[in-house]
Amino acid sequence: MRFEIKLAYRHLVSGGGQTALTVAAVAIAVTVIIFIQSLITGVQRRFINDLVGSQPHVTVKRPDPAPDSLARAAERTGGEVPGVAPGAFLATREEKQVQQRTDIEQWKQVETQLAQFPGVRTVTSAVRGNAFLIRGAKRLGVTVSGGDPAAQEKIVGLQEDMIAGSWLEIGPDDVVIGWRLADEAGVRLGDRVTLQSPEGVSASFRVAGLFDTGNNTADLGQAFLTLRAAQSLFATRQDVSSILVKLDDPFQANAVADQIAAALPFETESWMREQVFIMNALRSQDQSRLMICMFALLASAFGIASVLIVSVVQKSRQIGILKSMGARDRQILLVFTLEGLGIALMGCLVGSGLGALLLNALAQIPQTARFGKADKLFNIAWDAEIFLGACAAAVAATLIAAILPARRAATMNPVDVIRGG
Amino acid sequence: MGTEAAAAPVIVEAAGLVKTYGLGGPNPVEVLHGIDMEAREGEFIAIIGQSGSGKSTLLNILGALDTPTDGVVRIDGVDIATLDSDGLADLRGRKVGFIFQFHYLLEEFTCLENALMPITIQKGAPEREDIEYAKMLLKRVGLESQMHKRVTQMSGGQQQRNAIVRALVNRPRVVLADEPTGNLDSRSGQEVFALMREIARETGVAFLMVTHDDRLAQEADRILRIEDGLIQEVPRSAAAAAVGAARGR
Repeated sequence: MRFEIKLAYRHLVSGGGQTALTVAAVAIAVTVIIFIQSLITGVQRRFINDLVGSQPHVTVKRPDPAPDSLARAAERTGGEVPGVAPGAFLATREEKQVQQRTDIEQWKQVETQLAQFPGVRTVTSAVRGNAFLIRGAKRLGVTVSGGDPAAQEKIVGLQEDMIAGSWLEIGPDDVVIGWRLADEAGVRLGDRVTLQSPEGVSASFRVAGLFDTGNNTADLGQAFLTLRAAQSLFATRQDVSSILVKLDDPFQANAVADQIAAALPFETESWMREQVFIMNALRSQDQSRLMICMFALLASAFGIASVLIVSVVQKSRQIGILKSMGARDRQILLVFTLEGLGIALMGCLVGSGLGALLLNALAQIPQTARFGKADKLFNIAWDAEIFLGACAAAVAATLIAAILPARRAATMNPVDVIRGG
Repeated sequence: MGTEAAAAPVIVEAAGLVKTYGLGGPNPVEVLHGIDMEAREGEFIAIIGQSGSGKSTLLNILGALDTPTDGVVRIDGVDIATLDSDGLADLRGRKVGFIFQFHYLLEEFTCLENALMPITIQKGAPEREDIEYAKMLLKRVGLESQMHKRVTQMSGGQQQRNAIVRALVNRPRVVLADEPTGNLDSRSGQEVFALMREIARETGVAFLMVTHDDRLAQEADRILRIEDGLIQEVPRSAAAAAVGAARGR
């Protein structure tokens, strides 16, 4: 092995510009992969965080009770339905009871059960419903979410989006709304607003806090109350309307939602199914970045293959003479494969450095600040896996590119190449 | 010398050697028609013949670098037909040394590293005694001061002497030289030839040299002439005439 390493090393060193060119080809591919992967992963993470960060990954609800049909009632009772003659033809029309509230009574117990599912980070119960926010003549539709602020915070992560007032310390008399809603309703911090539920309950609340999530739907249409206040507003007594689940990995939402629905007598909603268009956008983004990475690798692999083929032709005399001195085919194969490996490793080193520099420069670009919150424009994902993955892919592509020239060198007939001298 | 050599063991032996190029193609060319020969330990043999007569082909086959179409070649008692490609490579590495018209030294390495190349291929790295032996040989051919120089920094004659040391460093049983002085001016050629002649005598290898130079051929122990694909021993007394005739054609 030492002979092969030595010869490969000397070839690379004496190759000079030729070696530098191939190393540059690998380095550029590695840089492109690291750059694209880190950028898109970062952008996606931030996007998901902005989008899903303020909502539960899985929502657990009591299913709407299915109406009982006469036919099913007849089956249960063995064909005897009061007022219907046995064997009579029955035609029934089923109507869903959509207007009925479906609250969860033993929610503390259900919370404990849900917390046992794999991948569940946090669980909290909430009373959620639609209501009107009334201020003078204005009636604005809002989605009200009532729960223990500390527990809700773990689901919605509102604290970092607060721009005025308080959130975690609110009392039963307080409401926290988005700045757009406040703007629309013409209220300021400390003003009083009325909330009116479909159950016919109206109550007055003090605007205790304002948030800016950057998401218009939330900023214009969401209001947060304490659990007690929401229970009164929606007349749920001691019950809750849904249990909110946050997962370690938001992309497991469908799987966990299905597991819960299969194991417990509840209906589940996954954010991924609610927002299919976003999932499709993310998926196509993933595919395009995969394509970019593939083409970068392919281009560099072709470059390396062609340079190595030229190098093998240039070195054919040498290969012949080495064989005349007893070098085996396998040794020659190894020499040129090691050259490919050397090029790949140097390319990875240079490419990783360049990629890191580029990402660092990108990460410095500031975002236009809003409400005094300074932020960076790009959220770069500094993942070791991205760097290692890019290098592994480059090494694999380079080795594959080196195989053809190396095999050509190994199978060269020494007599032919020496005679040519 | 002749009787002395006859008593020595046979190192290279060819019987009924046939080589056809382009076999299976539209016009196969039979270059060697049935060669029988042998080279004994310590013998210095000159092979003469006109261009294209098959001298180089014979040399390559005798060195296990090429395979015959028919016939048997034994190197140090081993029938090369019984060996696979790795076996042939090992045989070349251990028993055979090649010297070509061009030095074919590796430009990426120094004079000493080139001299040690066959050992490096075999063992990965030369041992101390290998290095000592290579240095002794380099000193013997007058390259003492060049040992750590790059190949490109040496003259043509020095490069060819470097190649001779490389051919001898693995203590081969036979050295095959294909016009080793063909690329040198006559003075360097004479020097290189004299060195080969002396070292062959000192080390006891069988030395087969293809040459066009009749004066050099005359100094060999035996002269073999290849003509029309057949080999013929030229009596020493008639050597000059034979070489002259071969050159004249």
